Amino acid sequence: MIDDLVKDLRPVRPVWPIGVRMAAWVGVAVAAAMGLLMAVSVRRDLDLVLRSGRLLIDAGTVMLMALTAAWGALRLSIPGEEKAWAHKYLPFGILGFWLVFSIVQIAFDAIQAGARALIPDPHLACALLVAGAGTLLTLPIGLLIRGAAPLEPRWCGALAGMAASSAALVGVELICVFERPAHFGFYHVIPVTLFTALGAWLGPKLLPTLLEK
Amino acid sequence: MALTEEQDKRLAEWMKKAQGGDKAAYDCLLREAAQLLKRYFVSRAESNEAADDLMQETLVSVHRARHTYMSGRPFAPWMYAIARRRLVDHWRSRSRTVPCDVLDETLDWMDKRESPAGEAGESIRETLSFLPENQRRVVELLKVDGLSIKETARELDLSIAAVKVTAHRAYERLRKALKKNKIGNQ
Repeated sequence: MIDDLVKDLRPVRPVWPIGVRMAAWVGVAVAAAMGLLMAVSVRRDLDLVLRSGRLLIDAGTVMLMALTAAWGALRLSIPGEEKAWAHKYLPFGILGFWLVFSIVQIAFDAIQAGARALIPDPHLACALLVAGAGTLLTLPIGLLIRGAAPLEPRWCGALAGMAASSAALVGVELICVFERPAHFGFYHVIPVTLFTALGAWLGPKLLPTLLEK
Repeated sequence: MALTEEQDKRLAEWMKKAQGGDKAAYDCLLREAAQLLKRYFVSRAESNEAADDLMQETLVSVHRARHTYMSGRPFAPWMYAIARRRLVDHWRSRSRTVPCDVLDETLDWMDKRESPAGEAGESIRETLSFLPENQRRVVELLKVDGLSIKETARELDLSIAAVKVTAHRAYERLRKALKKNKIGNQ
């Protein structure tokens, strides 16, 4: 068998270093966000948003989640990296913080404004944009992962889904004019969480593994 | 499993050359890797044959994934990560057939009981005829034709979970039937 493998040997181009792959994906994500912002203009009161602690924490968390999840997905696609637990769990820790933060904000809002604060301002466009741009951004990261050799496709899929949908949400949050926590929870947090779960489900189906015979 | 630093460097160097298409270096790499992998699997697999199979499968995986080895990094963690996944996959696929142990035991028992050649097969078929059509097909494909759960699912156009559930029910039914039969014969 060894003779056959040697006979089959062809020169290969080693996979890009993780930093380069990450930069490539971030470049695509930024370009997509710019495209989205050019298509749908940025909210006019952006300066107000930048003064709101809650919105800044939210946007910062989402951005951090996008970056750590993308980094984790790209690292886990290289054999030998899957033991680095921080790459796996850190993005999920941030997602957990974001969920708790959102729930607490909704609860505070409900205490101040009553039960009507629990009803989200309907704006399906947010969820659709997250899903659409998220799908678009999943393609390049998915290709980068497929180009390597993910030994744990479920993890890679979940992290890729989280990275893509979070990056999409960063763009969406610059457009969305609804600020109530219930809207954030329903139209921002839930789509990203679902997208992550979808990635975990689709990962083993779409990402090839070395275990395939 | 631990490699000396010198050994790791040598393997890493060979892999770097192999990525560039150097067949002699690749030959050296695979031969040394084969020995290391054999040693790794021998203590972890259920038999020597299984260890050999796992070693060969891992070498194929190493071959397919050689572009993901990054030069300058230690070689051993990369190779053993692939080996570990192969091993996990091996045990996982075996554990999927664990419920079949019940059937294996009963089939062994029947083989011993029905000593005249050819009668065992008849007896198995007779026993399987106790089962409803869907359960019988699943057991036949899994245990007589030797298909995996995944292959059986594909063959019968069922989900993997449905195959597992059906097989489990079939084994339960068989166990009860055989128990009754055994008691009746005593």
